[in-house]
Amino acid sequence: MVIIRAIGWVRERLGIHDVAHKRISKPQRIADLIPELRSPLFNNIIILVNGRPATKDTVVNDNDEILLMPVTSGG
Amino acid sequence: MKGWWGKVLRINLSENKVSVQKIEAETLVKFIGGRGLAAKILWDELKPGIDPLSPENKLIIAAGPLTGVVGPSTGKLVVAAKSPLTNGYGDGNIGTNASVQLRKAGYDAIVVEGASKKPVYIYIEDDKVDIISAEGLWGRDTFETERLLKEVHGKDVGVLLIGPAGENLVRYATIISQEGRSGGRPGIGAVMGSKKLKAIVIRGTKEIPVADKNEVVKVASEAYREIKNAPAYNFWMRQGTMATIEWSNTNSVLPTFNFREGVFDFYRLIDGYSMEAMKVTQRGCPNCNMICGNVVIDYEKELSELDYENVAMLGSNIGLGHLGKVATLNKLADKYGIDTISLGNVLAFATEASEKKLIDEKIEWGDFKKYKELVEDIAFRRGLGDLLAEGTKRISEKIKGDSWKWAMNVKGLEISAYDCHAAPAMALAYATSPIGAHHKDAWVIAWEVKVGRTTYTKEKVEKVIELQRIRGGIFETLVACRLPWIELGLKLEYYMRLFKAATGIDMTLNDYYKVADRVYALIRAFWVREYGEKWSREMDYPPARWFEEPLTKGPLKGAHLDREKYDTMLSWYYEIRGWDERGIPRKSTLEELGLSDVARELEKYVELSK
Ligand code: SF4
Repeated sequence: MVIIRAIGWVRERLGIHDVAHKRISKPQRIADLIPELRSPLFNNIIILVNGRPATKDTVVNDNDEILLMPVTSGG
Repeated sequence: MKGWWGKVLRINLSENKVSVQKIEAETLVKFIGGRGLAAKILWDELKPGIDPLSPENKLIIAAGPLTGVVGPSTGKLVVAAKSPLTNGYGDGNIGTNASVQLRKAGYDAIVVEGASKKPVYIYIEDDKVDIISAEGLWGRDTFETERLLKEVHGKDVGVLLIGPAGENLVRYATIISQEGRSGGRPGIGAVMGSKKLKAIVIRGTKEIPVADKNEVVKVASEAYREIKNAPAYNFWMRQGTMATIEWSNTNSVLPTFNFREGVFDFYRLIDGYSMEAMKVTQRGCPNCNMICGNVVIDYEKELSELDYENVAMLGSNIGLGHLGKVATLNKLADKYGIDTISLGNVLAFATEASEKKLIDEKIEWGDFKKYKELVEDIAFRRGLGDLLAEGTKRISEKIKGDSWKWAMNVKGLEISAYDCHAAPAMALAYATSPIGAHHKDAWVIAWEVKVGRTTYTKEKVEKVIELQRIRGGIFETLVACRLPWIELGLKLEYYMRLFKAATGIDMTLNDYYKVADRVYALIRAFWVREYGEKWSREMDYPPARWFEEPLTKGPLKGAHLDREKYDTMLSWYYEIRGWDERGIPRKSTLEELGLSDVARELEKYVELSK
């Protein structure tokens, strides 16, 4: 099971609540696991896998945790 | 010359004199406006070593060539002076109708000199300038004062004013406008108070001169459209910067308990969703189509305008997990004219000092009632408030112990709302910001999260400088709000196009970077001239807490900054900027930036490296 967390507008655009889970049978690219991310809307977002920097092309395995976040500035 | 009026309005309050001074075209092209113009005037005209709260200091209100011109978020101006908090260069920007009115009145900047013996305010209507008694306004809060001034002068005037904190010379008093628009963190409100100047009221009726009006409208319309089409637009309109509470907590950078931690157990109670549930209306700056001032009903059933910085600093950083109460503290700060970022730092610092028995007063984390009393005591300099009004650096020098390690400031200016235990680039950005610790110049943390938190690379240093050039250089001199660009991805090329349409001058991004470097070098020269031989690279260090006390909670538990690696980053920073190992611009750098006169003056105070 891959854990997917997202925050801010990215979460709302993806329609995820706090956490989503996806079952995978073999390692998969993030962009294949979450095809919505291929949209240009998500060109400039932050992706972490298990707390480490990643991209849409990063391959995830069972039990990995993906975190998707907008770039924000706070003011 | 199009784009600028080429005029500075000078008001001497000691002599009750008003004059208009021409600014040379060459100066405008070199320094553009806003921060650039303010730094140039302060460098040329202030005697080093003056008391910032004496009549010798000057208060600068400076617009830029885009201020007031139709275009995304161009309703901003810069306020600047020698800072009573840092004794160095200080400035801040405010989004206010006063910026538009200033430009329509026919000026690029106002310089207020000297000091009045009695409280006054200044009324400007185009070429007519009156200095009027403010005896009846002195002592009143900023909301009431603005209302009264508008009753007299009409609703459409622009107003810049101070509250009791500025009057009582609180070292982190700000200038306020429109009930909550606040600017000038490094005590620019106290400088205004020291001049016994309660307010500046402006009405302008002229047309701002631009080179190509049709092109301005065309570029502005395209840019406004692009903003509205941004993927994050709707969410931004709901939460504005308040969405950052959740973001910061997720990334362990939400300042908590005086920056001891980066996560707050009750962050949900103060986040953007909690704010949405309380929101009654939305306010913003002129010319903005993505207004971000979220107004809620506070604990005392009054209106309070919230953003991320004030909620983080008056919420998690003081252990207060109740948004209504945070909003009340925020409203009081706005009414009294106190900077919310420094205030949140000072309250947290006082709480920790109480916990460690370095002060007698009993203050507990999250004690709203006590904090509320303290905010009032600070504004009126009563009891402990008199000491707290001095800012964390001076308080720490007084109460001693190891408090200097957790007095969370750089150069005396308190840190804004991002914890840097695990963010070396953001720590460097704070430490090298031209006014002391502030996120305005380089908010690098999102990029740092993207590329990795634990590394200390030259690439990170280059990014800090790139952002300083854009945020602290382009946006602070144009003067325009950076949020359309950083939050909703509006391309920088729009600003270059608008600049060309307004001024007729075709500048590439690289040309503008050179302007930014010039302004940075000039501001650094100002600091060095003030500090003389006392200046050292230690001035560009973040607080010891981030090096010595690891995070004890959250996903980054155990993280702290590495001093040696930070020092290497700082050396790279100086190298790229053409500054020497002390952080002083080299003579050759100043000359290359067209600042030979600055080099000659600076050499009187310190030896310059070649
Ligand atoms: S985005 Fe916010 S701060 Fe910027 S101009 Fe608009 S209202 Fe003002």
